[in-house]
Amino acid sequence: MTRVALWALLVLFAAAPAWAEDLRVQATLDRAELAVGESITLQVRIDGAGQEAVDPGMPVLPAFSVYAAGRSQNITIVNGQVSSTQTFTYMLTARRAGEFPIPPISATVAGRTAESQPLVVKVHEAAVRPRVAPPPPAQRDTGGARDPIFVTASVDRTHPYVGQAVTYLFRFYTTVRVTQPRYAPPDFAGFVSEALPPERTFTATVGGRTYEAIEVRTALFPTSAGPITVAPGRVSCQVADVLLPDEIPDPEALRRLLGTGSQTELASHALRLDVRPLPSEGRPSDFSGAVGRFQVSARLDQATVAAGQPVNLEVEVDGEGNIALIGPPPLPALPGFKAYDPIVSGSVRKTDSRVSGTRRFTVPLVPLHAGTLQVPPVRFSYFDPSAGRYRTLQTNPLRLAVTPGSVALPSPAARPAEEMRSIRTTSALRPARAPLLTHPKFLAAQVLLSIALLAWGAAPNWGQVRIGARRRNGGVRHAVARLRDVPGLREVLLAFLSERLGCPLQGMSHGEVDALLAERGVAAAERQCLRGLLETADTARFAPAMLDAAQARAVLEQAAQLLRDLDSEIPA
Amino acid sequence: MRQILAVLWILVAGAAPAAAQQTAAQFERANLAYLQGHWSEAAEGYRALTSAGVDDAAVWFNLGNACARVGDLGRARVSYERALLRAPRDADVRFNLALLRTRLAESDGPEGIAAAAGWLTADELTVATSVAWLSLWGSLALWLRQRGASRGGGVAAAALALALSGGLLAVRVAARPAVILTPEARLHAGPGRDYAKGIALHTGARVAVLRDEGDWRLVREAHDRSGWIRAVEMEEVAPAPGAARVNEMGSAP
Repeated sequence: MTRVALWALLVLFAAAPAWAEDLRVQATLDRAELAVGESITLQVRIDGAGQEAVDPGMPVLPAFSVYAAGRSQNITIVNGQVSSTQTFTYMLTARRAGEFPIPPISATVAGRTAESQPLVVKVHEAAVRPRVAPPPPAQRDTGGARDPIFVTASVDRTHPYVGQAVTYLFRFYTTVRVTQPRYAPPDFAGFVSEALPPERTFTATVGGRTYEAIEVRTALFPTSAGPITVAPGRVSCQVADVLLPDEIPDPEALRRLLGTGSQTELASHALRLDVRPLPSEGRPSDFSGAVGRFQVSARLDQATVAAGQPVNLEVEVDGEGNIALIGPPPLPALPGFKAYDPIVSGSVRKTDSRVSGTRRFTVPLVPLHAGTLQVPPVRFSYFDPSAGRYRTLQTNPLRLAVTPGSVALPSPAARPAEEMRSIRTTSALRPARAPLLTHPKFLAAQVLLSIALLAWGAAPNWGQVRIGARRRNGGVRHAVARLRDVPGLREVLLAFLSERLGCPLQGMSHGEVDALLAERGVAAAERQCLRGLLETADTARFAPAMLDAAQARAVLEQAAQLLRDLDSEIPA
Repeated sequence: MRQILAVLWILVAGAAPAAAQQTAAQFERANLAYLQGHWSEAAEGYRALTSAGVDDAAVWFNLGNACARVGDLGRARVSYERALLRAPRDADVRFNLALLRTRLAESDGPEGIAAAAGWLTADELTVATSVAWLSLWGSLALWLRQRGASRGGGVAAAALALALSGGLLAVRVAARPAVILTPEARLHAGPGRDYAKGIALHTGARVAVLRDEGDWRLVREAHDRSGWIRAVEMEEVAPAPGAARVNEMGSAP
């Protein structure tokens, strides 16, 4: 036991570094040309990923509907060297004609990234696709009914419709003892395949000879119309060539020890199928590709619910056919409800060479008001290949009693995770743009508008200050400048005061002028001085020789001083 | 020459609608894939749109839904948060984000001034601040023109509005929210693996980025604990993601 554990450890240690093999990604197509509506198989093979789960980065392929058809992993240990291969299969259904590139597909494992080579697919319009004649059935058939070991391959129908199930039967017959038989199925290009376990072992008589037979079955769903060839299936095995007596307890171990036996590979015939397209005549508008025989039912998981509380509408499609490929049936208008995205679940049954199962679409509904609400019938259309025509089923209408409650939707914590609100199907699809805050024109407009506002607010006051100052300073300076002789003094003084007081003083008597100045708060000394100067001016007008030059200058200076004093006492 | 100009005009005029039609067709295809339950394909379609320069709340919302459907909760949250930045009062976006937060076992959302700032887009906050700014200058101008005690109230109100809107805008501009994408991101005491490790943040946790240093970011999590994590373990929500940032997003599992 200890020794076994030691060996196991050695094998593990020896194998560990071998995982660090190069990462490689290879993409292959089963064909490079197809017609609109048909499908091709894209296989992405990733070598060197070890046991890491890899998710190949599938590029967006707008010209195709992409369906992930499965993943397989193969780990091989040869002389302690471990190699791994993961193969992802995708079905690409062409949506429009043209020549479309498939960009490199990348995979990243533990920081290592590898890419496949790019591919190109040519899609023809359905009417002009060149029909490539399938190769003739394989002429080589390894073995025959009279041989001790041979294989056969067959299908249960050769003219199926697109999407109709075809059962592929591969049988291995032998009359001799074989060891390590290994079945390599065809790649089933042009089909979605489902293995139908288990293998069946039985005894058969062929050509009067009794054989041990092993049967492997696979369900195939053709993805496009036209002739399709199923490549040969293969079996490799070790055939015993030494007869050993039956009394030996473990003859196989002895054969392995002696190295007896020869490696043999057997291949079946290639098979040709002529796949018929689904008829366009009578195709319902809600047909979504279901082929087989189905039943549909609908139910609500609650009979009574409060308004605003969720209830699930469960639409179940059950039957035989390409069940895994069925999409949600279109929902009718549901007045009074808010409907959310359906949750898809289901199961596939493989019994008696048939693929059947259930596809369940759970649609969360929230009743928006109290009362008895009705869920109208849900329609489901499929193509029945046995009858060669489309059938449309519909569920019974359902009723839901809704009691008054809070119409507002319940808090998220009270709702199951699946009840998220549905996607938006309309959008303005606005492009990205810089935020307004970083827009130079916007910022410049802010600055300019601010300056303009400030200028608007400040300008009138500045104007008044400037005009007042100019008027005040200019008025005194102007008046003083006009003091050239004593007789003219009266006119200058009264003009200045008229401007300051805002009323003409020229016709007033000295007493009236004095009273007006007293009313405006002019000091008595200035009033007295003014009165004296006005009288001197009057006298000088009638007797110009009364004052000599020096006296006249003194009077004018006194008048100038009075003007300055009045300027400060009577502001403009 | 005229003919050449005419041809050029036709080409330029025709290119824009064609591009818009392609974008609309891509959006419809992604929606169709989503409604048929092909959520990974739908997510790829929406990502292709954002990579092509579409920056619309509806696309980010749909991408959030697709990511949530395939269980990529980190990127779902990034997408919802981006949708919310562009349509902050959208009830559906808020609802699904709240729903996602319950799946992430989060109890509290943003509070205080950050929550208040979250009800307006950055552009709306900018316009509000601009109006308050110009109102301040306008009331000042009025006060200058007609000096009176009653005008002082207008200036004060405008100054208050400016402080409020400007404060909210500053919070929005300074904020660098980000979302953790990896199942476990350990906070470190410094920008490197050699520093002591602290608490672990999990997929979908929202953090605020405080500082950059090489490939490391100083972040603060919801309970005000700070630490350094590697930039590749998270994705920033704002400012507006360009094509380069979108391309960083890997395919959904």
